[in-house]
Amino acid sequence: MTVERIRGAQPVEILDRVLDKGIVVDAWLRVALVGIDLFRIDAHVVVASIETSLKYADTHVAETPAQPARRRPPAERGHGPPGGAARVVQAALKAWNGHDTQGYGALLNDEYVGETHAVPVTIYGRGAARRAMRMMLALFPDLKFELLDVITAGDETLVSWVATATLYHERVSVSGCTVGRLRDGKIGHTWCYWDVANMLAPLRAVSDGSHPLHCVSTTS
Amino acid sequence: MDRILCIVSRQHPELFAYLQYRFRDSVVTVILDRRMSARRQESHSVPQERRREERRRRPELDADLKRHSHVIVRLGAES
Repeated sequence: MTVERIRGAQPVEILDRVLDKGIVVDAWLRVALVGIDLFRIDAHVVVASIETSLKYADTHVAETPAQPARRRPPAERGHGPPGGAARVVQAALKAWNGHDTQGYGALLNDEYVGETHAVPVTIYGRGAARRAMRMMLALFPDLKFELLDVITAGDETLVSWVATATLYHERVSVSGCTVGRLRDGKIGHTWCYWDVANMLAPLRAVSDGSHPLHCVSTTS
Repeated sequence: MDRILCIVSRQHPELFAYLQYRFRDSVVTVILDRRMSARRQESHSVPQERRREERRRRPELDADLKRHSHVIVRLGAES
């Protein structure tokens, strides 16, 4: 991954570069006129194109011999004990709300596969899942999930939740769900569904709207 | 064993398709919300009201489906 340094560029130009190329920005930018903020970006890390970053992450995982990426069809049945589903769901929720990437990773099976509706990137393996979680928390530092309901049928688990976060000084709340499958008592597969468009609306309002943003989560 | 009904909002057809696929042959029945809208509200009075009572047993589901993509209903005690 190359690092580009932009000097002397206008804020709009920087933002356009970020949205276009999926650069990870660690910056604090403020344009003020007579003490009044006109335009401010105060995100420590803005991952404008998580899709791009995850492609990089997946490549990295695939190149690591200790964590071979194995693709499995979404409908493949696992063999995990369904009785532990509620406990795993609670632990996953606690890890997400506590921003505990290590704890969340420990709940995942070695061959974990994470999918999100309408996002063309699939996460393979524990390492990629942790990186995706870190990106998610960087974009939404105060992200919290409230559990609404959990149902289990065989190996399948449906977790209904409401996610709340602050984005550009706006409180956003989005409901969604995660369909999970246990494998050997750990999370083997998740498919996440939520209204990404609603959650990123404040961010899109800052840009000119011409760049579609993607958001990836591997919640359970 | 309790039956579980998962009602998916009409605004989320892809979620409905996926849940139906994943929970096929299980105790979970996934259906698309069939409720179109609240019963008509006439602004003028009618000579004889023929509608007797609210037929919907769970009117709160309407509100839930406006806020969430789906709702879960457990039918064990009723069926």
